[in-house]
Amino acid sequence: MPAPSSQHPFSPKWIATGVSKGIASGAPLLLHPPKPIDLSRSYGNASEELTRFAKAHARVVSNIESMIEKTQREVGSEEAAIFEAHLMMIQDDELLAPIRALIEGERMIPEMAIQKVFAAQIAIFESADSDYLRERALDLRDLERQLHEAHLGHASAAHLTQEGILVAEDLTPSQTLLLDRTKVLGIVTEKGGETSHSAIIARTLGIPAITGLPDALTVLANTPCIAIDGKEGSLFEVNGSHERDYFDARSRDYHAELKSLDAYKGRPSVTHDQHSILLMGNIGGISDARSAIESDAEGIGLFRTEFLFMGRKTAPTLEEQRKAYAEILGLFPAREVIIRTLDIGGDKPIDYISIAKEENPFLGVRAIRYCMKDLPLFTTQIKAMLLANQWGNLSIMLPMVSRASEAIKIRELIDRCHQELSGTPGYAALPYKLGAMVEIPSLIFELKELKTAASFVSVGTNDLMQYSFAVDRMNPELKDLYSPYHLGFLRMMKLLADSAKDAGLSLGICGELGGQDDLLPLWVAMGFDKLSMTPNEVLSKRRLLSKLTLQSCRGLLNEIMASKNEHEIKILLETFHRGLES
Amino acid sequence: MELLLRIKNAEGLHARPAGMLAKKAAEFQSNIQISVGGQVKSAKSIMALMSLGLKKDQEFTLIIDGPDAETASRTLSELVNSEFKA
Repeated sequence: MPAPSSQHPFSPKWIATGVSKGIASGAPLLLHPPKPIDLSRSYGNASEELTRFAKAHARVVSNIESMIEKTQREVGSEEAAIFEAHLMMIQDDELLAPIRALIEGERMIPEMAIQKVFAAQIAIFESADSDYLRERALDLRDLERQLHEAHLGHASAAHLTQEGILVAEDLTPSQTLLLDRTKVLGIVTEKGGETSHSAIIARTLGIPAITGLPDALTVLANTPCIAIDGKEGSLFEVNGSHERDYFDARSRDYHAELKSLDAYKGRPSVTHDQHSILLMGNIGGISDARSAIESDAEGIGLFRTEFLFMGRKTAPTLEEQRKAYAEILGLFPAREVIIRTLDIGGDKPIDYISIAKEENPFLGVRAIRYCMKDLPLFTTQIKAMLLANQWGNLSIMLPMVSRASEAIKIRELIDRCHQELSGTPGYAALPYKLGAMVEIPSLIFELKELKTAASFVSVGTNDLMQYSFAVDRMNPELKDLYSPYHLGFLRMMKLLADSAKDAGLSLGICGELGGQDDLLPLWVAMGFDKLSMTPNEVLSKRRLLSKLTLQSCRGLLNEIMASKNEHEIKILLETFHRGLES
Repeated sequence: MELLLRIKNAEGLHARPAGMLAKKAAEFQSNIQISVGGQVKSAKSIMALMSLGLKKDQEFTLIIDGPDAETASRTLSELVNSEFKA
């Protein structure tokens, strides 16, 4: 492998993709995927095999008990209920008695007995005529897997015995949820990208992470100590004390930096000359919402509701959605929470949502275009939001709006939902706001008309760039064309900001560019009211903001608008930010 | 004693309510069984309760037999009728 470049004075073993910034060093904790179970093992004697089963069973019981405790503490009792059901299932005699009978009476090894009894029970659940019960077969499969793993003595992400850097093929959502945050200093995954579940969680928790290191589990099998830099995506083998001291110091610097940001908690987000701009959090669920509170975000600028709909066989019910929205609204009683309606398309298939195969799903039936064709699904979501509004301050945001008339139609639909709800016990008509995402350039030219139905717009910068440049942002071949430093793109943002203000619309960004340091002065100068970002970016943005003045930002914007090209823009930005440091 | 009950909560006898019913039932000495459409199963088992797949408005019978049958029937019917809010 050629020696790749790194800002550290050692040559990295690998440079891959950094997905969560920060530096960590420690022992690699290898999380191997489960091995297949060995059914060829020969039977000892009955008491030996029963003891073996009892031990594995006890281990699973204690694992589930600690998951319940952990989930209650970190996520909520609602989420813990499913593990409580798991606990009762695994202790149920309907399962245990036949397993023990097979081990003792049929001289079957526990591995085989477990498989046989679970298969029978899973078959009963799977043949049920209720979707719900069929899904519970998954819970049984999960329990079966846990029993097998306990027999094999596998490590689990939830039960690490020492501190270190977690190395895994990829992390499932449940593994990520159960990560022991006190022991995981960093995360290395073989697969996954910047937007994978584990990357998002790592960023939210401020754990350095890199991804895209094939065979990491094999290659690092005998390495006692490694270091990672989640910003440049590098991984180092730490051999001597010289390297160890260096990376320990850098990791301490990183934590000191995190700590120094704590000083910005509880302060308003203002420039040096007291010009204020709200810094809000982007979230996908309740655990992110808690990180947003921890990071002192001033409300939620984007709640992605897709996670509620994904990984299941039927759509979440009105009551399930109402609870989920209410829980998050209730966390921010005095702040705005912007909930985005379902943003799905042919690229993210969901079992119960049928979108015909399309040539180009990104230009196809997605988001509100789909929702308006599936009114039962859409009105259920809208009603759940309206019902949840009594817990906080609801804003509803529509994705993929290409013209004002779409928002006007949906406003009427929301009014109808409200009429249908009035009379429901506990429902009160409370004020809410409606807004549109600006992702499709055509909407920028209909903001006045949009104002008749909506009161705010929020820019989804990733999609706006993708649709403006006609560039698929996942295509590495076209990486250079997908750049926010494009003069035309920045002019478009300026035009959008001016038009929104003319129309009297509140103006925000909830895309990635909203949390990017170098562009912050431009958003201030253009007059954005709020920026929403990954929660752990909030405090560093607040610190940066305190070093800016409205005048200096406007000066920079003028220079950029008068510049000639991307290269000049980058130099202007670099010079401006270097000036802040000195 | 036999007790005719009806599922009132919207989601039916799902994992959580089934768990609550099994747990409550297990607190009593009496033998407690559930009977639906000819099937008779232990009401103290979450697996048995779940595998019945009872939905909202479905009726079922609890067959309670033992020294504390009176208290058990009162407690369990309250639990079912309160839509498992307890």
